[in-house]
Amino acid sequence: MTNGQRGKRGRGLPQTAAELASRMMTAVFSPAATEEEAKAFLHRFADYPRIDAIFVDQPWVAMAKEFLDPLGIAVGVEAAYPVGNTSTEAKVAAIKEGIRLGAVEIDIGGHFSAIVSGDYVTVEVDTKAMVEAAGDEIRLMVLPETAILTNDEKLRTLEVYAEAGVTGIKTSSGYGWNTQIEDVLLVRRVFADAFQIDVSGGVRTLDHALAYFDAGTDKIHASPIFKVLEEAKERLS
Amino acid sequence: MNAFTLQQVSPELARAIEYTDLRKDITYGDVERLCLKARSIGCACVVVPSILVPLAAQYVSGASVGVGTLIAYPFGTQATNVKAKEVEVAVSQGATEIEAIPHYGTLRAGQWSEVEAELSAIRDAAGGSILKLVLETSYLTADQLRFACAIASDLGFTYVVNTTGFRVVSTRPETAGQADPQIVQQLLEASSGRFRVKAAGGIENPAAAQALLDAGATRIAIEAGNRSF
Repeated sequence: MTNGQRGKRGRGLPQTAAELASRMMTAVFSPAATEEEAKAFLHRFADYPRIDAIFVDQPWVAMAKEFLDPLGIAVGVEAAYPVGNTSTEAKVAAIKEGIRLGAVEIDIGGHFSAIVSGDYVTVEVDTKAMVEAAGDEIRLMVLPETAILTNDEKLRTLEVYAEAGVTGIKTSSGYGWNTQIEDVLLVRRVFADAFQIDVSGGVRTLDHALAYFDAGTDKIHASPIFKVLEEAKERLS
Repeated sequence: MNAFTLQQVSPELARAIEYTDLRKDITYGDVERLCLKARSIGCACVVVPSILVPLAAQYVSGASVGVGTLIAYPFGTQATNVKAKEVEVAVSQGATEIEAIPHYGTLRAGQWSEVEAELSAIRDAAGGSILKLVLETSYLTADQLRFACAIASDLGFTYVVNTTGFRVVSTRPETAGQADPQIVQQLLEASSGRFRVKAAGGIENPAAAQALLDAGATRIAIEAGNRSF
């Protein structure tokens, strides 16, 4: 199984456990964990191959960087996540704060209400403001939330995103809004390599992860991250 | 299946209702319906995501229905200045009630001066709007509730809310907060009577709402649509 098989785009299937890990992400947020639990969670990554990024609360970025910078793992933050519909001004402020804190990536919800109301002019205004705030100082991944959109809404939204300068999307946010493999295939079929495609939600095992990678996914966000990494260690070289 | 028909609501209950729609796929039409229904029965306010505050303000204009929004919904994970910006913009666009979600990590670590600094910045940005503190009650100890309430109350917050109603753990829908009379009492005790209590989360019918009022809550979040995540 290699890159580009059956005409698919993206990076193809990871060949080794280390390569797979380098395309995995996870998160720890404060309502579900105390700071001590968060630290303990971050510490565990010293015993695994390097993953791409871990997302934390903005007030925890400095603490997370202390643990993760030496491991080469990026610290990410989120905004308007996972529900979205946060004011554009607040999202712009969150992006600027993410840059100031030294976060490598920000995952941020699009204007879902405008999308499902058919107001693509407002989607464009909201998106352009985010792209401009991010510049090239932070990796901006926008979430169209494909899990709750029709195919028409998905494609129109992504056309607006591409036009506005978005280069990376996270298809869905998890929390029950899980990315379908069909969504990855659809985006790759229509937009080829215009977007980096990350997915979130519903990846519970190595087999799930491999299926999403095979469909053209670049990176995967998984909460059962250790299970996926353990399985990869056993089954990949 | 929404057992809550607003037509059946007593005037007393209606005045306590915060008619709420925080769904991700809320349409502009949903906001219009929410506001018209809130006006027709005389709810205390509508509650919408911050990006829809201007629309809601337009639809309730001229009625005695407030516009509420949640800041850093649902997890409160943003930095203080980001929250202050969201407050400032919402108020300038017509929000009259601000529900602040604190950084729980700071609160649970007992970093009270930082909690105070955050809530103070939110208060300063709110320009006299009604301020509510949202606490994920079931994730906090009695002491944490008590300290957080005391700090917020001193800063001019007037309501404490028991939950955002959104699931706390990504894979577990059952971690979404639920209102119940016992939690209302717990919050009244934690705030030594200095706070009014807003009950939120899964309030499905008028009887449940009335039980929360009887327990001492003065605001009740009723979710429009009631679609489950």
